[in-house]
Amino acid sequence: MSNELFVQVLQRLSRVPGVRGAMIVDIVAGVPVVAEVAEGVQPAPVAALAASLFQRTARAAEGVAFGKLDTVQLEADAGHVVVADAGETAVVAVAERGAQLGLIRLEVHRAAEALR
Amino acid sequence: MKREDLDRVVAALRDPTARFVQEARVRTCIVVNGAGQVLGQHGFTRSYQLVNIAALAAAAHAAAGALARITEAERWTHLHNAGERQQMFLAPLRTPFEELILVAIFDEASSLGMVQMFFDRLVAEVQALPEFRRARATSDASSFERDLEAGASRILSTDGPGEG
Amino acid sequence: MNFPAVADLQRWSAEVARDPASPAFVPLARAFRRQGRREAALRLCLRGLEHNPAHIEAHLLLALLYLDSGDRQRACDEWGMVLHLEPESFEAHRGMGFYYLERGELPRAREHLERAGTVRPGEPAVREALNYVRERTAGPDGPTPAPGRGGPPARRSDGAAAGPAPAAVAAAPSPPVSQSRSPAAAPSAVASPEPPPVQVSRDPQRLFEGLLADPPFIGAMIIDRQGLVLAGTTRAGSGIEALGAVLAAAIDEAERTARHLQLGNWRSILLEAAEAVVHMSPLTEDLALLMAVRREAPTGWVLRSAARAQGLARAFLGDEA
Repeated sequence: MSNELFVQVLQRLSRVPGVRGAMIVDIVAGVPVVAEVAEGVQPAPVAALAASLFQRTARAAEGVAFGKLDTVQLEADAGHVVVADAGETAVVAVAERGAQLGLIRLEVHRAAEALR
Repeated sequence: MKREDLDRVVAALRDPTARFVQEARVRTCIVVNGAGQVLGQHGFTRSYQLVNIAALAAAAHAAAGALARITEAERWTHLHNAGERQQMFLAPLRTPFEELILVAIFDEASSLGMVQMFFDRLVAEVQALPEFRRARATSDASSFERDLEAGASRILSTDGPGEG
Repeated sequence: MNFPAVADLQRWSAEVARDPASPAFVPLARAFRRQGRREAALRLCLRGLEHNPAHIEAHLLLALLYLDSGDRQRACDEWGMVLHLEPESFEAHRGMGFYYLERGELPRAREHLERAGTVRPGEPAVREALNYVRERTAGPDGPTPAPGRGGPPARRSDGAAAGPAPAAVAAAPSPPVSQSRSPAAAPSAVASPEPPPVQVSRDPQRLFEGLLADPPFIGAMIIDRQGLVLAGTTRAGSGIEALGAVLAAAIDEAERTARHLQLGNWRSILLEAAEAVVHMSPLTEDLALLMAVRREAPTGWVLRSAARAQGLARAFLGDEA
């Protein structure tokens, strides 16, 4: 899979209003593959934590026979994190509170589909 | 490292390392000195021959250091070995007295990214430990005195430069 | 769920094999879908529609298949097709109503939901969604829908699959179930929609029984930090303890993520898996609400139902919540 595709996909996602960070993450290693982040957002910790969130949640979902996890979305006081399965990687978006979450979800899913 | 310094280092590192183990969800963590001695251990250590791990980790760290110099990389930030079920992370942990080595063994409950992230925080925490700040000040002063003494000896020596 | 008889399956298969234009492709594709053979159902539907482009049931089935795979954009396209053929189709108006609700396009959502509500006034999901939308659009009557606005959005020309439609949370600054974990925290700036008044059962196993009437509902429960269930109801009637124990790990992880990324307290988690969607939200410092619904439920409905479940849970907990 080419780096160009990764960059293309991230640039589109990072342009959605409210997105502070967009990255493609190696889910197993918990490290960023490619990242587009705003100032103040550090790709490495985001990648590690988002990957861990996805992995743990995926195990929980499979543990109760709900099947393969597609997306996990965390909402917190100061923002949102959306993680979507993209096969061997995952697409992660970090957004500020009040961001257009619907649009972000849509773009995250489009990005994940483009990478699968 | 003097005995009293060693005890101080071990005591100071205990809590931060325990936190690292908990947050990074590693199975086992040992802190080793350059001579391969175990200075601290956390997590599930009973199943391992820690002495052997410590000795080999020190050797691996030394070999990696030599490789870094030869390849002009200067120094590696860490070594990582990935197995099918387990992985190992090995990284230098600087103290004012000497450079130690942290060895962390983890499985699918953690990840390289997670271990790296919390190791970086451990390093920052260790740097900020009051005991180590005091020790750095002391060692700086001691070094200065030593250098000054050595310099004075050189100047006043009958074999020193300029003496005829 | 009644599966068709083997003889019927064979008959339909034979008819379609003999004549690709045979309308038997529709019940056959429906049977494939029930069996979980979604790819086969999709291919069959698409091929059948090439020969029968005006087959309304087939377009509706295709919309469901797209929904199953999370492709809400294409599902919406199919509903649009149906409305061209049958302007008063309940299923199409309902589908598009929820689609726009998820996208936060409330006036369009309202238009479609009102038309669906006109065809079937008693349908509970449409009624609730309409109440929600009416509260948030201008005036009691809202904007008058322009005639013929039920047409389909333009088909994507690039062939790329669109992702699922966004959550209805985009419609409001804070989603209905958003609550700080601290009981003393100020309420969110936008008031959550008031859940309908219900008699709250004091029987912990029957607390969420009222939600069983909604077909997508799988179960809901109140769990504590250790994953122990305080109260809960599942459609299966069992397995609640395991659900609570296992899914509590997701809450733990979410809390950790929010903390280390300095995002503050967690407010909700939404998991979308192949067979189910799980919504989790804090109730108190130590308790959380967990609700699971079938995968095909629209996200807006999920959030709406979670708000209802929150209301029941808080009433059950009384002063504690």
